[in-house]
Amino acid sequence: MKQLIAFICISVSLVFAPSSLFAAEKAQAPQVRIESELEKKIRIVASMLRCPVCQGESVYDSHADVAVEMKRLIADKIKAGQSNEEILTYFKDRYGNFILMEPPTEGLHWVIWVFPIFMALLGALFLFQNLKASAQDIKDPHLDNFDQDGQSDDLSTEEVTDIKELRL
Amino acid sequence: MTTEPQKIAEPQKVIRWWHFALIGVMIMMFILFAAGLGRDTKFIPSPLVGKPAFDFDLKQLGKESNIKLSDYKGKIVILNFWASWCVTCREEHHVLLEAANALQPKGTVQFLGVNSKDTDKGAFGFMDKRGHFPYPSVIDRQGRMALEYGVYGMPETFFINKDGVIAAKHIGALTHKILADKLKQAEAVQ
Repeated sequence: MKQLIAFICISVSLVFAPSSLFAAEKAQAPQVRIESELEKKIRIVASMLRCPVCQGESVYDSHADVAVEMKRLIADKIKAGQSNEEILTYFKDRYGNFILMEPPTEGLHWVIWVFPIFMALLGALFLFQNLKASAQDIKDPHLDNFDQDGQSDDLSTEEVTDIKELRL
Repeated sequence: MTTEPQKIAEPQKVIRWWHFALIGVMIMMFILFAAGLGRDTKFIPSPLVGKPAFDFDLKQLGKESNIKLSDYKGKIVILNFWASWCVTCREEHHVLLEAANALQPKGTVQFLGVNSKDTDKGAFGFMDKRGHFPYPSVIDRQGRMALEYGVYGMPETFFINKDGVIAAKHIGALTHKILADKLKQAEAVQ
């Protein structure tokens, strides 16, 4: 009896599985929308601008009133035939470089770009020098005095023998 | 016979160039942090200061006529962006009323409001409750004028000199002191 119930359950699930998958696909279908050329252009420009009232959010990602209006203005300017550069300049002239998501590499701004790389290099150098120094520190200075025959100028023969035994 | 233990020579400390570089960077960072701590975080420099103010031609709130900024050329214009939904605008409201009543009769200063992203009903409701401005306001329904002036949020006030150049800008609620200081800047910049 149990086997029969299991068989029915599996059969039913196999019959309805494709249709339920199709239904799920159908339900998702309206969400997948092809981006128009204008929307693509708005996205590119709006992604390069910072929402003035948000924390680290682009105009494109923000739903703040000011960001929504900025997107409308961008759309109008694109429709009027303005280039991306012209639109970015429009906002930069009114809000300053702050409005750009990426600070420009001009004037003193290059420091922002170069400083992290410089610090990483300096840190790597510092680490390298420290590792090199500690590798030298762990060497026993007495052992450095041994010549190739295992003889030392500073130690007696007995001391050398003792040290050699310790090393073994 | 006992032998005296040999003294191990201390490895000589060598100061290399990168030690100086590291110290230099740390000093530089300390100076930058110290300078940053003393900075007013609310102050955002506007690239519009020192440039001619955008001349608009907008409908007056509650009237059919339009107002142009250039209508007031020869006067210092205090252009205030406000909205009924703006909480900080309530704080500065009495300052604007008192200052406008005191300064406008002299004839050299003109206050002008820009009611931005608001409705007529909301704007009049705000003024009915808190007092009507003794000066006109223009309607910026979509907020395009605010974008034109690089406004971050309400309230913001621009001090435009007699030649139509933006002399100063203030973000946030005005106080009598701030207003007097910015007005001095507008009077000084010709």
